[in-house]
Amino acid sequence: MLGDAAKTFPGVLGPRAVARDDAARLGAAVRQNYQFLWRSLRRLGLQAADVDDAAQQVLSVFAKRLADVELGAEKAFLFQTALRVASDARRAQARSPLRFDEDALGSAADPAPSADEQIEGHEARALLDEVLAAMDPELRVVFILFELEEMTMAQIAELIAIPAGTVGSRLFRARKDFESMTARVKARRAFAGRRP
Amino acid sequence: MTDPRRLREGTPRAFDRALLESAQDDRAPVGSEDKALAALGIGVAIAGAAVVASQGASAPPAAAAVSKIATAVFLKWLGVGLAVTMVAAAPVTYVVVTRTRSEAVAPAAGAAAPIAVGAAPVPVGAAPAAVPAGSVVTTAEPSVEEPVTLPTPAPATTTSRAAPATSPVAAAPAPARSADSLSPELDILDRVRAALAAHDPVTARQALDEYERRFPHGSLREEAELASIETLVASGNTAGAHEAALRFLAVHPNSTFGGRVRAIVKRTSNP
Repeated sequence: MLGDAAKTFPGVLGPRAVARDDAARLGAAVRQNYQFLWRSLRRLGLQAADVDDAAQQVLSVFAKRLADVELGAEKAFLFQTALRVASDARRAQARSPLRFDEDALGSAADPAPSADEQIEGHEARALLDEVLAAMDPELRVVFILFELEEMTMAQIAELIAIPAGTVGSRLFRARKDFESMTARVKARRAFAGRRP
Repeated sequence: MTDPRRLREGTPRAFDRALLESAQDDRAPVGSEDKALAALGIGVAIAGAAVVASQGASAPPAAAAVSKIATAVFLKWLGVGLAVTMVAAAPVTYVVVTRTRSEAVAPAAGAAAPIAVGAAPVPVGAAPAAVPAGSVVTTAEPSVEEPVTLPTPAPATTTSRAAPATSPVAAAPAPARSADSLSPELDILDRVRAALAAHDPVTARQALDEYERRFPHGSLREEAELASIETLVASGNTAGAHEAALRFLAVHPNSTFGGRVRAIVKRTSNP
């Protein structure tokens, strides 16, 4: 890589060449992956309002470590870093899983609780957050990448560096979890709308 | 490798589908990407210049030379925290170049590429403090543990927990099985809810008795207990509801329904 070569042979490739190369690479990587990074952070549990800052945090790590990131591994590095940033953010929020904002839920469902199968986009997104937050982190990653990002299992295996078979088994377990949790959420939602 | 269908397309459950589809609208707000680039010191014009410069021979010599200077100086200035005023626009590039000619270019920002993200013009929450120009940027992120090794095809240590399936195809999920196991419980609780909505606590109680008989260790017990408390309230048994609500809080101190049950305790404790 040019950056490494420049450090080894500063007389051959000067610092300006390094800066130019890194800036170009950084800019290209951000442009190619920003939307993916943003969506991933959102789906890993950050509220939309917090994602920009978190994305910036990920990118700042990426910029610092640019020389260590293999060419072609930019997306994987960004995602792995996003996992850590999101995990820190979740810990900071210190929310326990499947804990509804009852006021929000209640107002969404009052005065007439909607039919179980009818759910508005905004509420659906909030409930999806709850379900994803309650999932085992390893399963959640595979679930998000396959079901929401719609990557192939082979792409996921490469991105998070696990064997393809493991992706398959995690997806299987993630789907089971998702389905049982949506059933719970559905039941809770039905009751949360009630005011005795 | 044949991937299974996405759940969004394959699930018969409209509720699940609605949740999955709600994520289709996830996207960064307009301008968010440009802000991120600017915070990294890669404004639109500068990023373009850097790309042009990196293409070397394909760029006109003069343009390439200007780009080189602009990029190097811009990065140097970022390093000393003056990037605040330089965001993206073409005139900014001009200003940078002008300053280059009026001042001697400081010797080298250092071999470590001075991509001083800390000097971001946009506030970045918990982003690290500004990094001095030319310093080797190895300061540990305060809260972010950086990935040390880059992904390689080698199995991660985390894989030991989840033994690889013999075949990913074989692992193709059978949607709904686990949710189906909850369906009978849900059906009964739906009846309870419908009865309560119809102000029919007698029918609600009958359905709850059925739940108790069939699912003494059911997955939705908390929901059933809440429904039972609400049925007591609906039937006018305030004292019973109060007592049941207190018991609920003692057994499920961290319940999702805690707020609702506490509200019932409060309401039913009034004379």
